[in-house]
Amino acid sequence: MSKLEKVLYGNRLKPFLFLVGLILMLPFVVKSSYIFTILILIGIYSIVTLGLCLLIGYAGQISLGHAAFFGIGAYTSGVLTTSFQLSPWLALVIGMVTTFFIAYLIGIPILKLKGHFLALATLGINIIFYILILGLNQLTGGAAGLIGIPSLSLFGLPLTDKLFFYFFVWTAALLVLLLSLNIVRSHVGRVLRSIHDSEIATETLGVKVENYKVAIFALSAAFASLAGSMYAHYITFVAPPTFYITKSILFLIMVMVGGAGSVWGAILGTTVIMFLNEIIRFVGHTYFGISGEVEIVVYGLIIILIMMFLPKGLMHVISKPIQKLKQKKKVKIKSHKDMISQKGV
Amino acid sequence: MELLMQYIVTGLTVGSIYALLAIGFVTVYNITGILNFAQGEFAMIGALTCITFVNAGLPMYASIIFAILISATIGLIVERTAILHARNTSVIILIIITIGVSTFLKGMGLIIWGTNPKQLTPLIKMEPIHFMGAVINPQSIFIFIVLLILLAVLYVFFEKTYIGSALRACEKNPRAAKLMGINPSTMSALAFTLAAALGAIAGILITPITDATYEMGFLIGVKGFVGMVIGGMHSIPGAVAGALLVGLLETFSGGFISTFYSDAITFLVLILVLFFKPNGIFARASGERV
Amino acid sequence: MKKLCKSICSFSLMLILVIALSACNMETSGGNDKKDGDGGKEVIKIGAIFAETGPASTLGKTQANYVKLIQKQLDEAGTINGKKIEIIMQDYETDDTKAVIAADKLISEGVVAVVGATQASTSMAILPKISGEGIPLMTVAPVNPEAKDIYQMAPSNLTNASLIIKFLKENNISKVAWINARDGFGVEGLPSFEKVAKENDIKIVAHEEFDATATDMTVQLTNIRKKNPEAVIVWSRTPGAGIVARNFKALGFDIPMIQSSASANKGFLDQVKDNNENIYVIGSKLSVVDQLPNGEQKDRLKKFREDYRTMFNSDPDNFTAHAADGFHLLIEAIKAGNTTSEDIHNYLKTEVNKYSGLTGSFELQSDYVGPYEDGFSVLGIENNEWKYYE
Repeated sequence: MSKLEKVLYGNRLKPFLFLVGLILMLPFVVKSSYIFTILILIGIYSIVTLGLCLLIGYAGQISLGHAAFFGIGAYTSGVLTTSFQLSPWLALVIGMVTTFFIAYLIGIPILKLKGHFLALATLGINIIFYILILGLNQLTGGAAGLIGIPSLSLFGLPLTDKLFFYFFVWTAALLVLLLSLNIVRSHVGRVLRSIHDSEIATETLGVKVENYKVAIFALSAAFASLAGSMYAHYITFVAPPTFYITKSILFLIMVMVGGAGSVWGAILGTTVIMFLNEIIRFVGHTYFGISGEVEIVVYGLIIILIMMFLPKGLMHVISKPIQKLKQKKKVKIKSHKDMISQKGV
Repeated sequence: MELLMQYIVTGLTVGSIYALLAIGFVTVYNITGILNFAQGEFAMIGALTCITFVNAGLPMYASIIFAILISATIGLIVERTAILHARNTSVIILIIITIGVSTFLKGMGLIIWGTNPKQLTPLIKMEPIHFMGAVINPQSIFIFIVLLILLAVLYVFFEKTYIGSALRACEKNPRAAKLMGINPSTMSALAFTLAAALGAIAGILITPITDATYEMGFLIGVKGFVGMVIGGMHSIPGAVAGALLVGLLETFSGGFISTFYSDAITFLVLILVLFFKPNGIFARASGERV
Repeated sequence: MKKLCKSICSFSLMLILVIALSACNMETSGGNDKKDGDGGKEVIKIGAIFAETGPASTLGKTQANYVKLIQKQLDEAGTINGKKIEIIMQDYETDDTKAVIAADKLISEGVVAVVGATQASTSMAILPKISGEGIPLMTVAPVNPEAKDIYQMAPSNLTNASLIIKFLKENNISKVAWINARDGFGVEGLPSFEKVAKENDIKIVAHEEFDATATDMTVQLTNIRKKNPEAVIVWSRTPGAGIVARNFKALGFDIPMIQSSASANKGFLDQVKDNNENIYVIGSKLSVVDQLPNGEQKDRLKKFREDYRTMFNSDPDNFTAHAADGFHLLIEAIKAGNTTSEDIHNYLKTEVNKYSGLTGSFELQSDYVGPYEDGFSVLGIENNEWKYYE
């Protein structure tokens, strides 16, 4: 049984510990506050993409509207802490709960749609949300944005310090990762995978496909909301363009580039995309002297190339050689044993 | 009454712009099953290359033809390089590839043409027409006529010619089409070329009204898309009707409710249509593939 | 073939990761090196954050261009007090999050001051980061007047509003309609105008909005017409601004239309070509240099325009001038021997008295936000060129 599990899901402890180690180690290597900001943003975005990965890679549903849920979290935190002087932590939880229920209610009818139609419907929700936050300017500050969102503090430690915030964000991201890993391994994960392969076949087995899809949609929305709240408290300013469909598309690209087939892909994709921009800029500026427009072209080109040649994402490329290596080892050991047993005879 | 008339006229003007884009979307979607998010970009390329030729001193008609040819070629190149390779992968990957293409083309547009809006003098220069108290831009009548001509031409093309039938066959059942000696890959290339040319026509036609910038493609692209879904993804007349409806919806909600929320109302209607009539309000019921 | 492609792809990705790591390291080690100082020519770094790409590039592109121009001028002029000035430009792609990353990058690079950002909301997004490090921020957009630790190079919306009010009073207009684009630039004009209008008994009878990339504003204008205003005020960037003006003409309005300073450029003039009576913009005097009375201001603006023209073959607009003022003020401060953020702050707060910038005169130690209105004027259009009224 345990063998089967390994074959199905791979080892989760080792990579997890590796990631924890990496996170703990990075502050010693990285000194620049600019890289820190990127690392913090990777942590925040990873929380969104982890949820999105469960939705896309495991449940087989698409969403072009997660920036709306990200935004609900950010604005709930922003408005409640500035206009109503609520505790940021309470606001964060309220944001998550609200988003969960909103997403659940939206999800019931919307997830009946498939493929392109689902993409378009979620896109529509994102645009409606965007117009609403622009329109409700009494509450949200409209297009001028919401200023003066307080930063967080935890057990008396002010999280304005980058290092503290970094650890805080990544602790949250790791918890979300752990939760996702457990969902994937549980019977829910198996149901989701079978939905991904064939909804009808799963339905005929007597599984209420509908409920699972909606639940995972709402959960991923709640993750996005959590990330949104953190974003609001980190930047201490939110404005509507941050939550437009371009952000939803960015999240989607992160998941697909990393590889939707594995939750690890979400984190990998987020990291790669976040650094990609900076690398293009760095390489472009230092070696080729290019300006902003060319960066966009290169960025578009790289996205196309990755999707063309690595449709299963980068995770697939990384994990494949490792698996091969393991298999080879096993074969070797096996053949060795066989030889011994033969000699024995 | 005057107001009502003005709303109808404006709605149809805006709607016909969306309709021109929707035609391109439907062509590609029907033949390849791909929703081309870069469709709006072809409108941008068509409009801006046409302006470049006109400014270089070429006569108007020659510029238009060259611009359409160039856009069509770019459409073909995009299909042969980016789409062909990934044709049989999932919906999400194709969506991302077309988004990547859109980003790429937009960046190129920015490099070549810069950020300033560019103008194109209309083919027919006339004063605005006053009709029953409403003001009509002559260019929008022109757009409407071209739209009707295009509809007729495409009808003849798809229903009466051999290539048209082959294209439709690919939509209905690619495998059966292949067995009959039709190459779906060639048809896909043809569809993209055609769609890019249609996009370019749309761009050139609307520029006298809206002016052309490198970022003009996206919003009208999305609206054309919405029109197509509301009208029905499988028929060109349905999509055109849907796009006109979107235009009317925008102006009426803007006029009677509030211009602040007219876009939100449009998308709300889209979602409602998706819930209750996912095949579009002008489509007949059809069996779905499992 | 497929395998080859795959291996090339994965190889290039590995390469990217390696470069990424080395880039990170260079960043950190680079920062350390400079702190040590290497005895040679000392470099003072100024940061710039502009929207070179994305929707706001209609405003930010010329600002990004200007960075190249002023860097060239600085290099040609040699060192200032034995120090070289280097401007580090970051494009934020009209994305607030990217602007925050850019701000952090500039801080890591050790800049002494930052000029930017192109949009007001973005300036507010990066303000906490930059002022938290004690670095002066010279914004080129009209921000919230209550913001602290920020120097505003663009005329505030109050200044703009009082210019409009002056124009309205001269023309005996008391009922106006307001229409703006639904984006960061468009929505910021109205609150200040409402305030000044109230004080001057001018009634805003209609308020309409349109999407910044919309293709037709006839409905909004039809709604406005129902209220019978005596003038229409538009707050939008191009191309929206030009489309409104054209719809306005097509509908046969015979009242004046006043546009924001975002329309005071060549792009807008082209958009309303041959059909532009009764259209006015709040423009920088830069747009009408040739019509200005001879004097120091004219020479200054003319030189600025010529410098820009020779390098880029196009005209700068008032947004370029805002950026230029920001850089010039900082260079003044450095020339006066201030090389740290703190000293520059002090210099700007105490020494800048009636500094004549390109967009008006600055008095940074007073409570007045932004330049005075002497650099701006309500411009008309005549023979498809801007017309200056004295």
